[in-house]
Amino acid sequence: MSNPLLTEAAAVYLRRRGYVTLHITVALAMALAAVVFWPPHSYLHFFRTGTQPLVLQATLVVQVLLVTCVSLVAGLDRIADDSIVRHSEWLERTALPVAVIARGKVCAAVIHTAFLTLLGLPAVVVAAGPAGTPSTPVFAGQIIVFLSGLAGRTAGMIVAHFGERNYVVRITGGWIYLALLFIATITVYPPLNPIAAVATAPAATGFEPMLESAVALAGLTLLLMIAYRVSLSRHRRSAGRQAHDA
Amino acid sequence: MRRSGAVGFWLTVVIVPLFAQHALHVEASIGFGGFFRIGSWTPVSVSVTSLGSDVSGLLSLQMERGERLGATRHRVVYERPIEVARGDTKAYSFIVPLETSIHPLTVTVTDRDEVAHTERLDLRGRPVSGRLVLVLTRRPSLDFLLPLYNTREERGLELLYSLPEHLPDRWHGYDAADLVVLHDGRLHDLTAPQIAAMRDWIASGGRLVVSGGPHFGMRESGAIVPLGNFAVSAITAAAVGETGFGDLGVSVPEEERGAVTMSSAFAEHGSRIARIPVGRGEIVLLPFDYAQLAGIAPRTSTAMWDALLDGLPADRRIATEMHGRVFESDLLANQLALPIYRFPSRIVVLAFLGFWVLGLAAILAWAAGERHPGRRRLVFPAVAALLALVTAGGHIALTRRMQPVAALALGIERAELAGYGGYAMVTRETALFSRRSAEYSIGYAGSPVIIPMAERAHHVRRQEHAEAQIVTVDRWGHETNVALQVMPFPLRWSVRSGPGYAEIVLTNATRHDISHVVLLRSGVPERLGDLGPGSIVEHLSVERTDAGFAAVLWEDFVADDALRANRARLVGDIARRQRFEGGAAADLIVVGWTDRPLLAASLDAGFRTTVDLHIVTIPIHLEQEQ
Repeated sequence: MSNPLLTEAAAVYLRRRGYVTLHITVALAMALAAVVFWPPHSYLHFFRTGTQPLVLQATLVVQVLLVTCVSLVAGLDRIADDSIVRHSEWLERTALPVAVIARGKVCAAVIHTAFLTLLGLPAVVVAAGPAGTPSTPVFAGQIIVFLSGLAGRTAGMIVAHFGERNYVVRITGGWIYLALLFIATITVYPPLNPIAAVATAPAATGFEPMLESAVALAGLTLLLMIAYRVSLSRHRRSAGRQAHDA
Repeated sequence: MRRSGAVGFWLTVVIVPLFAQHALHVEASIGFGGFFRIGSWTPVSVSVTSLGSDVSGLLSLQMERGERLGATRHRVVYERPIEVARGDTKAYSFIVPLETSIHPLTVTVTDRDEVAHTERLDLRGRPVSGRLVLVLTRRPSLDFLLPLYNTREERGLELLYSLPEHLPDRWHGYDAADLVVLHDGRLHDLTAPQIAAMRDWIASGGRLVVSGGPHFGMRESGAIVPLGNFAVSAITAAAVGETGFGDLGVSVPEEERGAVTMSSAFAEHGSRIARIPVGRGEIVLLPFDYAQLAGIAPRTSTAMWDALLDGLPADRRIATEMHGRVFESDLLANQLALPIYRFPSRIVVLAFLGFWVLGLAAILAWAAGERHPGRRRLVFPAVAALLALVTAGGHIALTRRMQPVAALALGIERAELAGYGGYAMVTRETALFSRRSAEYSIGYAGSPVIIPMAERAHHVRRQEHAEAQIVTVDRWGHETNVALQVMPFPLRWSVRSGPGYAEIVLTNATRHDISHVVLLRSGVPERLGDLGPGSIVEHLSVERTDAGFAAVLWEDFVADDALRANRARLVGDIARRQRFEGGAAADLIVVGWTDRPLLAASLDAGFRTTVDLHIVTIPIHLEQEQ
């Protein structure tokens, strides 16, 4: 693991008590969601009433909320923050190129978000049984969850970066992002709403109903990553100028 | 001149056929001479003439149903493969359930996957509301009835003088007709399928009037042999008063009793009016020419047509939709009362996912305490292995093994004998259950059947001798598909009853084994045993008053194993509730099981589980004698 940021992330995510507890909590919450929303009636009830078991829908919604929020919080460096080297320290006190810093942060974000998503996979697979949903839309739902988590993670990293210099951004940035993603998108651009996207998974037979959402979330993530990379570069340039001026 | 001839030659031989590749002449007509009845199955005939190249493709008839602007509006497409050689004309027929005249029908001819012709058939303006009588005659011989039934404001009777070639060749094509009359038309031009269709329509509850007289000879009687033996032995002069009008409930006025008609003396029925029951319907054989009767005994003639038109069964019309008559969920409950079809309990799910969480916690705790970075990296394969184990195990154990298959079909087929003529009305209802959204195909091979349209049926495909319906079932949805057919099923019965007893004799002249035959009397079952082909069962049923007998468990009484018991219980429940008959309760009901389906359905490969029940019922009213 030659990238120091990846080494740092591995140490933090695997060794720090806060993250260990968080990972177990996510897996436990997903398991509880599947159990709580497990259909209390037999098959016949659903045939007679023309209704459907909501267990998969509920489990996916819980998963997308959990993964997005946890990713955002992780991106904000709120958990085990005493063990994490800040952006300003990487950019101002090391000679690491910005590309290496950005690559390390993004790789860590991708791996950790995938890990968070996989923590809920057993619960989702179990929940797909009563829902009668084929595996393709179930895994399409997992892609949505992952992309939503990755976008949240990237947004968190941006907020954390700016928040190091601006207290208001640091406190409110995460909430604003969540409000924009989960509430504002309902009216502005519904395909970008991850809850709406995963809610269609149980009734789907393929990937198609979630394709537009996946593309939208992937686009959003890409934009956020570019913005993050640009913000890091600008930070490095301004730090260089200040050092030069000093 | 030579140049213009060459141009003409090239135009004719090369250019025109090139552009006229899809040159088609399509003529479509609906109903009988353009008349049809809303709410009835209506024949639509389409003739296709190819003026260009050979046509090989699909003829489709699209019908819209539901309200014009409502959410219930949907389309049903009937399809038939067509092959028309260049310069040839071929006629194709559809029989469709017309529910409204708001939406036009659309006829489309597709040639090699290209739309070659589209035509819309406007239905407005010609629906029939009164009686519809179909007459096969050479002259307008029943026109004298029109002023009697029709006023300026209201038409109570429509007469359609049809040519033999325009009559339907499938029994439900006659659905709109109240009465079919065979007079002096070209009966020998009727084809075997047309006669069979007419016979089946009568057996389903229709009424046919055959008019004898001087015009009715050996050729005519020979042409309609499948309908019965109407061989004429002589032509005689008969007085109207002695022709048997009493059997029709018609009294002949004194002044007309002595009028003489030229009557056919039928070998089997003599020269009197005969009512020949066929299944649920009847053939009324008039030995005289009704057109002559109208001239010599007008009051008797009018009264006779009143009786023939007014005594029609009110519920004969074939339904265009049938739903829920087999109580799908009851059937499902009955057939699937097995633990395997219940969801795994919450505790099992909790234990399973708990194993995952505890395993994960153990791995993560170990990794957190491990100081060696190389060993710590083992956390990834360890978590991946546990994840794979739990995910695959969950899928196999909780989904594949403990939950039902994706789609299952439960068929209940009921052959109901109406008592007379050895015909049965066979209704097959197939309840489709699906856990995934998909289109399923249900095919019926053999003689034509009616497939009343289910809400979600989009296509009906007709091949030469098979018909298939494409039904969409939503995830966790269920849909009932119905097929209907009239067929000869000579399971005969006779009953002799008195105060407190009924003596019943059943004769199985079919080629089917009919097992576990039960007689139901006021809901109390009496076992009649098995009826092999050709066997006869005699049973004396004495009315029982002890309440304890009625409390006998149906399944213990009827059957000896659990599966049969489940099925028997279902039928017993339905029969005892008298909803099985959908109408007036019979005094006695005979219920039995056939060894194989009468109206077999072929289901597509999407159904991995199918359960079929084949039941024969005979509702018996004690005042009837066979």
